[in-house]
Amino acid sequence: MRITMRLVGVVVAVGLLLVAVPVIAHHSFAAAFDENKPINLSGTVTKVELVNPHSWIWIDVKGADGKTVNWGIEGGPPTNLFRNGITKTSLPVGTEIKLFGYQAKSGESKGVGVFVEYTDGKKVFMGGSAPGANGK
Amino acid sequence: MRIRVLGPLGAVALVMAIVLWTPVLLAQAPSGTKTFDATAVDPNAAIKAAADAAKAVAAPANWTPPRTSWGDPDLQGYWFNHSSYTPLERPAALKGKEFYTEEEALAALKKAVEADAEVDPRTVHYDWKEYGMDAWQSGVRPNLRTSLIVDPPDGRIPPLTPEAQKRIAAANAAARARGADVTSPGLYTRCITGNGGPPRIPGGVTAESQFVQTPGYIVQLIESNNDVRIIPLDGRPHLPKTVGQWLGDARGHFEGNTLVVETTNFSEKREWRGANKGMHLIERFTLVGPNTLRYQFTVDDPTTWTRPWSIDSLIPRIDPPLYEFACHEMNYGLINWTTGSQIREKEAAAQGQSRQDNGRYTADER
Repeated sequence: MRITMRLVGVVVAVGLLLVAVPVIAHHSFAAAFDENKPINLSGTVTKVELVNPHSWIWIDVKGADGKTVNWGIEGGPPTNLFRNGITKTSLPVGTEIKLFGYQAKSGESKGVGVFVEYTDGKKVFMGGSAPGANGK
Repeated sequence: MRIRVLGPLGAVALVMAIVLWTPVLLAQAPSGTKTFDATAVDPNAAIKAAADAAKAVAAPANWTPPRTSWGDPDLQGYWFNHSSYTPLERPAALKGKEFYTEEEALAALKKAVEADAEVDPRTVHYDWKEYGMDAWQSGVRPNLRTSLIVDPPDGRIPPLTPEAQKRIAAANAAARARGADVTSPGLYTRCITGNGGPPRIPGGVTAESQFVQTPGYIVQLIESNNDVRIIPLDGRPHLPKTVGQWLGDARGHFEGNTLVVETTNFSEKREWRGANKGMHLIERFTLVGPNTLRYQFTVDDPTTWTRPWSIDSLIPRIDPPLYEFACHEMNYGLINWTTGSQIREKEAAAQGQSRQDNGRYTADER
């Protein structure tokens, strides 16, 4: 189950805290995002850019102050999405999604999405319908 | 997935963020409306398919590769340069062990698939598998080899020459002194060359390619960066030594059923794995089954490595098409990376720390 997996990750994270290891950025464009600025966002999709080298999903997020901020969330390249039948209309504008990720180092309203889900918990894109699920 | 550990404050924030984030079930939103092939979304299905593929016969006895209408071995079609989780270099723990047993190979694959599919929430990266980028989502197979490198026999890249160490250290020092800018990352990240070599290191993403043949030429179209290698087969000489090209200058010929490609004249700015412009490459492509290409290469640069080194790998056939990889289509990433890196440099300088890395960003290069 989704929650259980994430809580396990949390327990592991806390456990490894006890070992002081420096942060090492190995990943594509990791320096762009701040490992010390995790973000949880919920919002409405305003634009989906299935582009190279990285896709971007833009969402309107309503803050506690009532103001709406448009966030850009980085994802992966689109070629394998196309190979698996996903198209630029697979995530329609107006869809409600939520995500956990990390904010841009610059502090801009941009981030990289680690877990990006529909409100029913299903992952966006390849997470899709599990085998045997009601074929919607 | 690779694991990184946060500083204490960051980790506390992370723990709170995850624990406080509970999925609130709002009005039914559209769940994924696509039904996928199970092996593309379910690691266990992928492992089972891999085990079944391992038992299948690669080619019937007495199979001979097809020929084009003018008589050359027919290598045409679409190929995927990522058939296993076998690392380029033999891990230290497997020193002296060139081959797995069949059971060990399957166990190694299973372990690699499970590790790949897992996402550590501390990973500052989108989940590869949501974009179909995990190797198991593209039909990996077990491989009895413990490394792709078959020569030297220890399965590891030979040491750098002292000359190469000096050259690379000087380049890194210059990069550190210049500071992060849009020229700091490698050629792939800057969209100048793709990740398909030559030489092509198996693995990675965007590993698709296509061979097209005409009498006298074979063309390799590489999806990564849409690189194209036009390879004459008529025995003409290489370009003059003064001419260097990003992908080198290739000449091909057939030896029986094997396409042999010799590539020289690399640009001095290519610096493939630190190599110099004199890098000399021989590649061999052989159809070993209706849907399998064997890919071997030997690379040699006496100014860089103490001896040549070679790999031996298999490339499965895939369905068309190749997709356009318009690398600079909307490359926010390069700007975001440069901004983030420059901020980190300022922070480090403010704390009296100098850069510990090599001043370049080449983590994505193959």
